[in-house]
Amino acid sequence: MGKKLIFVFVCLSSVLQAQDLAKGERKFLLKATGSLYKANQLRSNLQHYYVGGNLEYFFADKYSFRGDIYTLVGERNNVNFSMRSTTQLTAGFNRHFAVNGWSPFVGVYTGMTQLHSSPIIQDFVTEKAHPDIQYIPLVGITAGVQYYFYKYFHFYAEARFTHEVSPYASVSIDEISYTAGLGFHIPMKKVK
Amino acid sequence: MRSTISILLCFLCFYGKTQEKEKYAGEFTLGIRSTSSFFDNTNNGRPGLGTGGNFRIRLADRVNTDWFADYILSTTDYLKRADAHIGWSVLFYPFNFQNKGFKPYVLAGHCFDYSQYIDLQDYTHKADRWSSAIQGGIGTHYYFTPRFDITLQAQYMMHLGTHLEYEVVNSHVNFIKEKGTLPEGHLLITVGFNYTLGKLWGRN
Repeated sequence: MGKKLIFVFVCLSSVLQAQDLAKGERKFLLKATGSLYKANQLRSNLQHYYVGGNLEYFFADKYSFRGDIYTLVGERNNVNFSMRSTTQLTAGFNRHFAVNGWSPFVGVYTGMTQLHSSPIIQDFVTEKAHPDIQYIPLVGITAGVQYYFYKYFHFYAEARFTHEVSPYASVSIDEISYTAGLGFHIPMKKVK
Repeated sequence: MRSTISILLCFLCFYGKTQEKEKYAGEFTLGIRSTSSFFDNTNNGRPGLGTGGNFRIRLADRVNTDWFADYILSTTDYLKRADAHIGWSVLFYPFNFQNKGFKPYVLAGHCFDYSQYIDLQDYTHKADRWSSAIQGGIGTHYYFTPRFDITLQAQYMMHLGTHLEYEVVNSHVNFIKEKGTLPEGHLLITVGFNYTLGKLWGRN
């Protein structure tokens, strides 16, 4: 399986040509990242830790479409909910301000959180009455920077602000998450 | 019979000539969007937040169709309300119809709607209803590139069908479901981002 993937990658690389990333060319670039995200809720001292990643495609030098998925792997200071799992799926667009190999960006996204939790409450009957899984719409903005240092790799750092409405009370559960790491990209520009 | 065929041929010729002039007819656009619901009678003025998607099929330079699906959640101190909308609108561009700059439009359409009210004190205590709705409003696209736009629109959606409300008596929620065709509406503000993938017809 691994050899097949390498073969496909080599074949793909032979028919595709890297755009000049150092000159700010981004169109047709396909990139993927995976990372650990730390998130702080703004209305409490609750902290979440997510593992996730994204796939981003540049349909123009300045604009890209991006899809993300995150899943909760840990939390701290939680006194209201017994969180079993949380998965976020988002889609959005980014605006890039490419300068040479650097690519600062801002973006917007929307999506859905699948929340698998139970409120920590004393009344057993009421606790039993709460649903296991809830779906919460979300919107957010993101900002960060990417640095393309090699044909297939880049560094990145970013922060995301996510706005959600609590399914348990009339309050928002906004949070800011941030991460940094190494990303992988494939130039999809065809050789003329 | 002969006259009918003649009329049909004339219509087809006219339609064909019209289509030749329609530069943007056939465009297929895919997008994501977020919708906030305002002035709802169950939210005590608090807006609901939604997420969804849409696609547009453009029939002519000045006429577009928008097909959408949204999921909107709003929560009060006593109630969780979830709305699912699936529907379509016709967009008319009275001014600029080219894919650049601002492109304002008026819209009208129809939608199917599912609402569910859940008592936050007891999730087994809930009520739901299916209804149909009509909507109308205004909006604008702004094109970053000829294929990529941001869309901002405001529309008023009026539900036709079973009416669902709630009242709180001694911190206990009672649901009130009234049969009939009472109109019930809310204002929806939508922000979306759309990308034109190509043309379904008229590529030449």
